[in-house]
Amino acid sequence: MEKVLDRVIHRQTQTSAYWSALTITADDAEFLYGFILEAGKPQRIGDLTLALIRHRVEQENEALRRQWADNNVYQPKNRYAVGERLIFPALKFASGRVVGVRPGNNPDLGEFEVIAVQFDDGRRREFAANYPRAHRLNDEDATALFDAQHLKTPEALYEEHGAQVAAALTAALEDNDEFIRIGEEWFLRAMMAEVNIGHLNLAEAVLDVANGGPLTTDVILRDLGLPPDIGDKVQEASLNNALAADPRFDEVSLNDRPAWFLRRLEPAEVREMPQPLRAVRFPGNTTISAELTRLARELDDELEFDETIPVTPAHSATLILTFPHRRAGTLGWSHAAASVLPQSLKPRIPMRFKDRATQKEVTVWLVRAGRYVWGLGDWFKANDLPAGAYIELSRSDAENLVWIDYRRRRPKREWVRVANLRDGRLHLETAQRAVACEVDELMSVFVDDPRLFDALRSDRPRDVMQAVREAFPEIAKLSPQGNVHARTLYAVVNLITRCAPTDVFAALTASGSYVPVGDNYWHLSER
Amino acid sequence: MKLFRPTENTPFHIDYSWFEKNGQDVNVLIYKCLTPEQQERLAGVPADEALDFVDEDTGEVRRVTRAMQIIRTERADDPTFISSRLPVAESVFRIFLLNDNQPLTPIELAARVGRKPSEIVAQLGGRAVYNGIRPIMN
Repeated sequence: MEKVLDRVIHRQTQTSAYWSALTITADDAEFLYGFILEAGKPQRIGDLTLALIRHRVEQENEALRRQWADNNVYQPKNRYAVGERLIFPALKFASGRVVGVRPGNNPDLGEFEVIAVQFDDGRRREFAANYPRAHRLNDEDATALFDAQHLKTPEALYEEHGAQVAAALTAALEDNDEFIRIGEEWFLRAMMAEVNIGHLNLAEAVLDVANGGPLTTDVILRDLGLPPDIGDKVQEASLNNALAADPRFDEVSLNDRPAWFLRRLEPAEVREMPQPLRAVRFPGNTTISAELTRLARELDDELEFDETIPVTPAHSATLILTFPHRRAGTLGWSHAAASVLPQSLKPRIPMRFKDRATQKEVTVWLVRAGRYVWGLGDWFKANDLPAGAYIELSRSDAENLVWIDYRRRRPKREWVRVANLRDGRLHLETAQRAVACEVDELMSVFVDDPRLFDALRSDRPRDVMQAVREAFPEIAKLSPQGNVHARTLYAVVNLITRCAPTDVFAALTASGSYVPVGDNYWHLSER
Repeated sequence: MKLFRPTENTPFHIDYSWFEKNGQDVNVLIYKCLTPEQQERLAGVPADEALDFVDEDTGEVRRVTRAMQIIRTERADDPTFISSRLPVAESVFRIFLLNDNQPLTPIELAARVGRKPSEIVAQLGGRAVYNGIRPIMN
């Protein structure tokens, strides 16, 4: 006997299994087409997802209503005739047809009837009818079975399953030519306003006058003269789509409101990676020690940025300025920097850094290819920062403004590591220089004329192994024991060749000319 | 032939055909489940007379004997009807009388009789059959 476990209509849309196995059908696409058409403007995937969930729930309700339209709800107190269709709430809403009626036989229960019911699945069972005695089903209000009060609302279902439905929906819309993605929103291709080459040339002129931008789409639209009968939102979506497809323009907004910049007016160092940042790799598969691997991770060079490791947002981060970045006027967009900078997948984004001491603002560009932040050359120069200086970034309340500072201290002359060129080769010495900031002792290198190193890089480029071979003895000679810390080696090698810590350490290990003496210090082998 | 060994997850039920095969009358066993007062009320009533019993949850009608009707209507909520003081086979038999012989595993039965599932398997899973209770073999 099937016992009553729940007295509610079993609705698939209330289950996780339904949403995790969801397939977007042609009917869904048609519904979403109509939804966007009615809205008349692009819709975010979250809004489309919620609309789809509502649609599916309503579809299910409609199907239940249709299923129930020709059926009476079985209640023992009622009389039923042969041929009547019944639905049984207590049997998970199974339905069947009355195929027989006979008198009931039980002196304790008085007079009643027994109906034979043939269920739709073929089973045949008997039920009491014309049964006036107290019975749970007799007391139930049949209409309450439709009561949706106990059900999760579409909004609650969205909270629970929205992410996976949105993923399935995004994939389906991407495969459907009738829909078009504009940034984070979806729109109908057929509703897009026509944006021709003339409009795009005008947009270029508008941005040209604004020194390249950035300008938001609505500002550019003012001068374009798209048909006024097309809604503002649609005009914006159409222009955004056309601008995104034209290589003359870059979308550089940090939020969901697109803003455009004329690519040819972006700084050359943003369009192309500055020379000092162009890295060489160490060929081969040399395995480095766990200690060196840890050090490489600690150095957090953007050349070894791992996209698979999630970036945890932080209020502030400290970076160590290396010579290539000092020379290029950049900072590495490393994990530490990324924890403070806005998260974005766009290729180039301008934003502002504000000097905490002077309150002066600098426009910088976050460049995704090469992962660097360009625009700090003047700031480095003004503050006389050497390679090895600690740079501090911290978040501000504004989304496109980050505080920048360095660890200041009273200037005084100190004995420091100074790099020069002698006979076309790297030469290190210890000399007195004025130092006005705190530096990483192992990584600081003062360079009197950085241009000399530009020439060295272009005239006689070294591979990683050559650079290690040239740097190691120069560092070693400055220490009484002749020891070289791997951290110092990485900093000095990067004076002459831009390369990642792992490559420097691989060359150091593979060479065979050096031996580790502990704590990441290395010594020239006596062999 | 492979020996079938029931486990704690093997469903059991009352195999009514077992009574016929062994020349026993299940109605006698059911009658013993009644109190003396209930047995007195059944005096003179044929043991196999079938009545229409209306399920209180679903309205479904089952043909049952008067003794079964009394058990289901008067003993279902009686805490002494099934208790850990009764022998395992007796408690399990009574559970199946009340639930219309819906199969249950030793784990499910154990929760209702207040015993360990292993005890149920040890008692009912051997060669000897008590009260017609047998495992369902697939």
